[in-house]
Amino acid sequence: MKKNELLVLTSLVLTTIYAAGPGLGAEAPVRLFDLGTAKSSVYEGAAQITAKSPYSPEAGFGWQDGTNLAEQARVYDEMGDRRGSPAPPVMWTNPITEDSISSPSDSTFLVDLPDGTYRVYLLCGTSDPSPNQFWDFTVTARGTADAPEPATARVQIEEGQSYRPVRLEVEVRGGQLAIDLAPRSKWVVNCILISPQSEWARVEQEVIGPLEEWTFFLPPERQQEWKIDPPPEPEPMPELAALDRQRGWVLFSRPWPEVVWHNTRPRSEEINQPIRIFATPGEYEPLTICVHLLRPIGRIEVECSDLGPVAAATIDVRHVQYMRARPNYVGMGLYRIVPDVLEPMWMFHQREIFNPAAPVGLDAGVTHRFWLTVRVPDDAAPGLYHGSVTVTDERGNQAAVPVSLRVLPIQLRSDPAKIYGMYYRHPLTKWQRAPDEHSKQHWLRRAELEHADMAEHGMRNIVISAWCPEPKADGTIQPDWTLLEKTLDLCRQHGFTGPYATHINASGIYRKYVGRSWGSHCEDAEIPPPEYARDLTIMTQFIESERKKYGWPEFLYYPIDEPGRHAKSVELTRITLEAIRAAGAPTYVTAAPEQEAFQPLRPFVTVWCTQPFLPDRETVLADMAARDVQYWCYPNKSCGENDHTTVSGGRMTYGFGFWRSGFVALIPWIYSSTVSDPMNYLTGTAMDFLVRHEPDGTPMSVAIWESYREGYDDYRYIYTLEQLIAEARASGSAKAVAAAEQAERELQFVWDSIYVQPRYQYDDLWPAGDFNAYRWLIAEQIMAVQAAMKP
Amino acid sequence: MNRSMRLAAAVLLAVATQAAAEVPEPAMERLVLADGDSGSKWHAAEAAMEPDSEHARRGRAMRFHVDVDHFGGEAAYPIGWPRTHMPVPKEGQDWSQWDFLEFWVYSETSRDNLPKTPLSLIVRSPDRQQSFHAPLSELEKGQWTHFRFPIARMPDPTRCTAVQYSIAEADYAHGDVLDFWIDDLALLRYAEPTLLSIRPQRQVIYADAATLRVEVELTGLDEGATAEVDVALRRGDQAVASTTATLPAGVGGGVLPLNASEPGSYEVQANVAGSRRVLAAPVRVITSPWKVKP
Repeated sequence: MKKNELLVLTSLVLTTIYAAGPGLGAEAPVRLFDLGTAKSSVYEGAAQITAKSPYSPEAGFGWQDGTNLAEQARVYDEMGDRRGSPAPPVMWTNPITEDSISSPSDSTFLVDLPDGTYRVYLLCGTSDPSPNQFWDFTVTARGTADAPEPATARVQIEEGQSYRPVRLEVEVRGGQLAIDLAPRSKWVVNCILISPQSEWARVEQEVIGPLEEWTFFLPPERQQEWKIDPPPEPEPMPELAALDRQRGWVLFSRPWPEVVWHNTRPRSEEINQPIRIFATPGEYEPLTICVHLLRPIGRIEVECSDLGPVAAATIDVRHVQYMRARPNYVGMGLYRIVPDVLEPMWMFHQREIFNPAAPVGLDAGVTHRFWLTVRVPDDAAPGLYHGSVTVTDERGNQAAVPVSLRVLPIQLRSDPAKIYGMYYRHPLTKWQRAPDEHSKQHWLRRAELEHADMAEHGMRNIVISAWCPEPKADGTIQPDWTLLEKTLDLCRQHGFTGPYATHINASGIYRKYVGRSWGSHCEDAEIPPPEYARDLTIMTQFIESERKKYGWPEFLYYPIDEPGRHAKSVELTRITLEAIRAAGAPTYVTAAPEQEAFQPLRPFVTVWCTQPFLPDRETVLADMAARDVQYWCYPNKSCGENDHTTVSGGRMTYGFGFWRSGFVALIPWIYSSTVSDPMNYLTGTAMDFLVRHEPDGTPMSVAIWESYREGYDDYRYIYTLEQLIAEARASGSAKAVAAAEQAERELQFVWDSIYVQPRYQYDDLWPAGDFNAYRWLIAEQIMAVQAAMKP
Repeated sequence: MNRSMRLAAAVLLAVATQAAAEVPEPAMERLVLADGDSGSKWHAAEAAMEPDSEHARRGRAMRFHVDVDHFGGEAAYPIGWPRTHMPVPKEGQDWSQWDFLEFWVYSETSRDNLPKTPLSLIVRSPDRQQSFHAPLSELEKGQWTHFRFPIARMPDPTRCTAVQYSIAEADYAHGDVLDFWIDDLALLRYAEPTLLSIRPQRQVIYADAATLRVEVELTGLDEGATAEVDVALRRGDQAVASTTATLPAGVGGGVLPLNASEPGSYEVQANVAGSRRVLAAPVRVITSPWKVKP
């Protein structure tokens, strides 16, 4: 960031921010301290604070004890690069965010101030990548010894290049404010701003607003490089009842797979309508309620009552946060405002901390959606239950809609022959590399939470790594299986099952013999000498022997990701797969089998993993019946390779579409992928993917992730009925056989209703409300067959 | 015409024309963008695009010829994308007032048959992400295929800067020879109020549903004008529910009030008031999960 650009940003406030210095009078100026290195830029009007800025009465501010402080600075002010094309850098720094001070020790920053009431603002984070650090600390502002309660805030940030504000209010008595920084791992701070209460509104608007726009969105001049792609034109506003108009907001509901944009208006038939769901014991079921604002509003509370056996306290209530997202994950220059993260209500209520520079506020004309997830207890009795969802604003105005829950007498079954998986960046890698014990424990906890979350969404498989060093000259290999064993332990604990697509270090052997990398998607591939294949076979044999020795599940050896189609890439891939097969091991390749260029691979592929559901069902089934081959699908276009609005497409992909495809497994990219700030999708070469996290690492869904679970459930309904039909036919009971025949006809109706596509994204899908209707058709037949089979 | 012909309309259009098949199509206006006499308009890369009379609907068509070469072409992409494109003059780039882009393609190849995606259409926009892409999967060797794409499906129909046809060499074997004759590339629009599509918001509805919204796409209207559209839910000859909506051009809807429909097969129908051209879509009414027998 150039200094002259800063001048533009801060010119409005130069008159109100004073570099803190000696000679403080009775006035209480705004103080801004820019923490970092002596050589880095200083925010206009701020005082520079380094690790060597001790407190002195003459200065009137500084560290009480400046030991064990570390400085850091790293500037990002130029475009980056993605495979030869310009791409945003991981972040755009400014003089505040480009540097920081951190410490693993308790520290206190002192500022002499006239007595009074102050607002204290800190920005916390580092421009260093800090890839394995979990920052966890408490900030306390002390202005008087006899304060009834100190003003404190806990700050938790994963890794670097991500920032979090702290906002505190404090009374100063005795002429000095102390800011304590108490780490559980380490603390990190970029700036401290202190404002008299009387100046706060102006400071917030003129200083903090622009700073946060820059930090959490884009620098002003970079914002001009991004154009907003507007949401669909809203439908006309229907006539509203007087009560709704007086209240200043309207409740409506829409099937959850249908995207609700911030400018969506209710349709007349949707306003104040009952919400109705059905589910089986043990099943999760979403429902959503939308609030369309006719006036600016301060706060929205959403509560759900008990729903029969489902206690209100167990119902998860979240706000659908709007995000700026790229239409395509590597797109540039165009963004949309999309419904994305399902944030817990406590984060929604602290938007100034967890969603600064939000693209959508609580303004007139805006719609906010709330996402409720009901989990029916395992022992819930079948029946029809009633309750309500109540919405309350800051004035105490309320509106409620009735909710009906039908609990079905069905125990859903899971198909053991189908694999619901996903690519996964394992937190255990960070656990292994974390710089301190607190961070280690954080990554371990996050791994456990994520596995629980995956299991709750029906997922039971991930991509793993059995990395080991390449064979030595004598053919021996010395592995360290710590990470692999811990990975497999965690999988086992959460009921995951193989076979696992498993990365191996083929690229290391290649580099050893060719002298360089084969490049992204083998774009720089050369044909390696025969020793490459020999060593790869040795390595595969070794891993297989270890796998059998330790009783690990089956591995599908996955040496190359998405090989390119040019001749050398295909030949390198062929040699690689052949070498693995020579060791007697199965192979996994992410390539399209119908493409002519990949035909040489065919004899050596055990699992073709393709992005669309291609080849078609008939081809897939015929090939799998004829030889030892499987077809897996990584449907990235219904996962994160878009603006995260393919929710209906996701549900079709993960449920009815999967059923119709004949494929064995779903394994999309990726459970969670983050480049720098996980809540800013416009920085970095690619947009962030799927699950986000609460500050403590708890997984936070996006809507597509919920469509994965609902697709999984759709398929469980189908599979349960298919099993029951088979059992009824085998029972010999005429009544049961008749019920099975009727059920088959209904299942065929559903089958025929699917408009088969290689990719289910936006077009030619079922209407959003129909998914549950088709599910109900199946549920009804399950109950009919069950009843017919009763003696 | 002694050539075999096949109609491969875009999917949405198929929905619209299905039910209206027995009624003559309303009058349409047509603007030819390119035909066999448009040779100078086309540019080609790793391929040739020349006027040719071997296969043409009349006179000549444009022949897109490709010798698939996995080793030559652009150095960075030896297995590349041979292509041809025709820039659209600036004054003609706004297609938003048209209903369809239409053209015909005849295919020949040295192969036994064509791959899944033999040829692709791109309508370019200055913003690449707003370009319209369509695989022309319906093509068959030795046949004419008719394509008609709704303009409403294009991400930005106001800035259509070029029409491009391309193949991906990865879909072919090295040495394959391909010829596509492209003819009668034109924009079409209805000259009178016409329904393009009908889409009930639910295709499967519960018996106790109170309403059913039906969306239709209306065209053939002057800017600011409206037309009355009749919408009905029918079972056999009987109209179970009906409404009339006054709609402008574009996608709009009418809400059918329902009252405890019997489970079974129904049909939603819509027509511009006074027109015999009726679009229809099936709807199935099913039992309600929330009506539990005691």
